[in-house]
Amino acid sequence: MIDLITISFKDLLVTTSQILNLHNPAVFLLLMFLACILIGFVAVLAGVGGGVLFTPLMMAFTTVNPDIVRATGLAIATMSSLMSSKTYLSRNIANFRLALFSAIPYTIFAIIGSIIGLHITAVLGNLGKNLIRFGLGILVLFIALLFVIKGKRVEWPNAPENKHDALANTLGLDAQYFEVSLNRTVTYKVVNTQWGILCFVGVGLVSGMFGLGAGWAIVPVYNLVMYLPLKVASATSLIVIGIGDTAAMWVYVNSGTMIPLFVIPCLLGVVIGAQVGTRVMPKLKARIIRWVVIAVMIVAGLRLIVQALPTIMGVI
Amino acid sequence: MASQSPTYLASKIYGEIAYWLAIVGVAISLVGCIMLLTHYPENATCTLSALIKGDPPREILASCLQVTSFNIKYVIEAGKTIGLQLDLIGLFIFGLAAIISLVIASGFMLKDRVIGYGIISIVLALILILSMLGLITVHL
Repeated sequence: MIDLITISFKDLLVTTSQILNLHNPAVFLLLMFLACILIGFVAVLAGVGGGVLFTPLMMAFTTVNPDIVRATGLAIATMSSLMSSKTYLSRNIANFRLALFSAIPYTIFAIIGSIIGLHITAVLGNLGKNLIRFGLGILVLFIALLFVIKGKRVEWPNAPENKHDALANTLGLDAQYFEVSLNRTVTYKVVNTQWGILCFVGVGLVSGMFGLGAGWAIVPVYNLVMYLPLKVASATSLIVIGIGDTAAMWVYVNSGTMIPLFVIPCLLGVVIGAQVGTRVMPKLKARIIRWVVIAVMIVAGLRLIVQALPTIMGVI
Repeated sequence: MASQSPTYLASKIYGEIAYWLAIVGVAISLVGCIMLLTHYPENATCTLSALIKGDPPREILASCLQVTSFNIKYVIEAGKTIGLQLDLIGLFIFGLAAIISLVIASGFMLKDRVIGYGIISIVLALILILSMLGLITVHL
C-alpha cells in the first residue's frame, strides 16, 4: 500500500518535473517555496510546528541528503519559535524563568543529539542514513499517535493540593498571567520539576538528532507532568525551542550541512504559511485538517520505515 | 492585570531582539540567494542538481560553490561571490539572534538583581557560543 502510494508519488514528481522544467533553479526554488508555504499553513492549522512536518516529508519523499534536510528542519523550528515567542513574552503568558531553566538540559542534549545524528551518517554511511530514516519513521508514527490522543491535554490542570516541589519553590517557578478569555488573573504552581528536567534530556536528544522542533513533546511535559496551563505550556515551549535548536543548528552549520539556497526558501515558505494559517484559522474547520495531517504523518512514517528496512535487514 | 515578575522586562527584551535579529538575518540571506540566482546561475544550477541527486553537503559546497570550509571568515577572506557572502552573513545573524538576546536579557536580570536567572542566561549564552564557534562539531 505504502509502496503503491510512493511509486505513484514518484511518477507524479517525475512528470511534474518534466512539465515544469524542474532543473531550472528558479522553478525548483519556487516550487520548494510553495510546498513549504503549504507545510507551514497546514502545520499551524493542525497545531504542530512546521519542522515536525518538514523533516519527515522531505526525508520520505525527496532525494535531498538527510543531513541537509535535518539542518533545514532545525532552522525552520528555530525561526518559527523565535518569531512566535515575542508575542507571548510581551503578553507575559510564557514563563520565562521556567523556559531558561528547562533550556539548560534541552540545549545540552540537543547538541549531543545533533552530534550523534551527524556521526551516525558520517561513520556508517548508507546504513547510518537508513538508521536515521528508520528512527525518524518510528518517531513520526509516535507523534501521530500523540496527536490522536491530544484530547487528554488539560487546559487548566490543577496540581494535587498535597504536592509541593521544593526545587520549583527555590527557583521561583510558580507564576501568574492575565487570561483574557476568563477576564481574570490565573495563578499556577509548577510541580514535578525533576521529572520535567529528565524528560527534557530525552526531548533535546531526539530534536537534535532528527532535526525536528519539539513542541509536540515539550507541551505535554509542561502540561501533563508539570501541571502548567495549556496556553502557558505552548508559549514557554517556544522559548525553549528557540534557544536549544539554535545550539543544535550551529553544529549542523559548522559541519557544512546548511545549504543557504535550500534553507532560505524553505524557511520563508514555512514562516509565511504559518502566518497565513494563523489568520485564517478561525474561518476553517481545523479538525478535518488535523486528521489529514495525522494521515500524512502516518504515511510518511511508514514510508521512512519501508525505505530503511531493506538496508538495515541486509546488514543484520 | 497580573503583577509582573522581576524577569518580565528581560523576557520582553529577549523576545523583541530575537524576533528582529532573526528577521534581519533571513532577509540578508534572501538577498544573497537572489544574487546567487541572478548573477551566478551556473552555481545555483549545480547546487540544485546536486541537491536533487542527494549528494553529500560537503561535496555540494566544494564542487558547486568552491567552498571548502563553511566558515564566514574563510568565505569573506577568500573573496567568494557576494551572494554567498550575504547568505552566510544572514545565517550568522540568524544564528546569533538567541545568543545576543540572552546576553542582553541577562544584563537586565543582573541589573534587576535577579542574579540566579541572570547567571542561567549567561551559561546558556556560553553553551550557544561554544556551539557557534565550532568547538562542538562533527567533521563529515
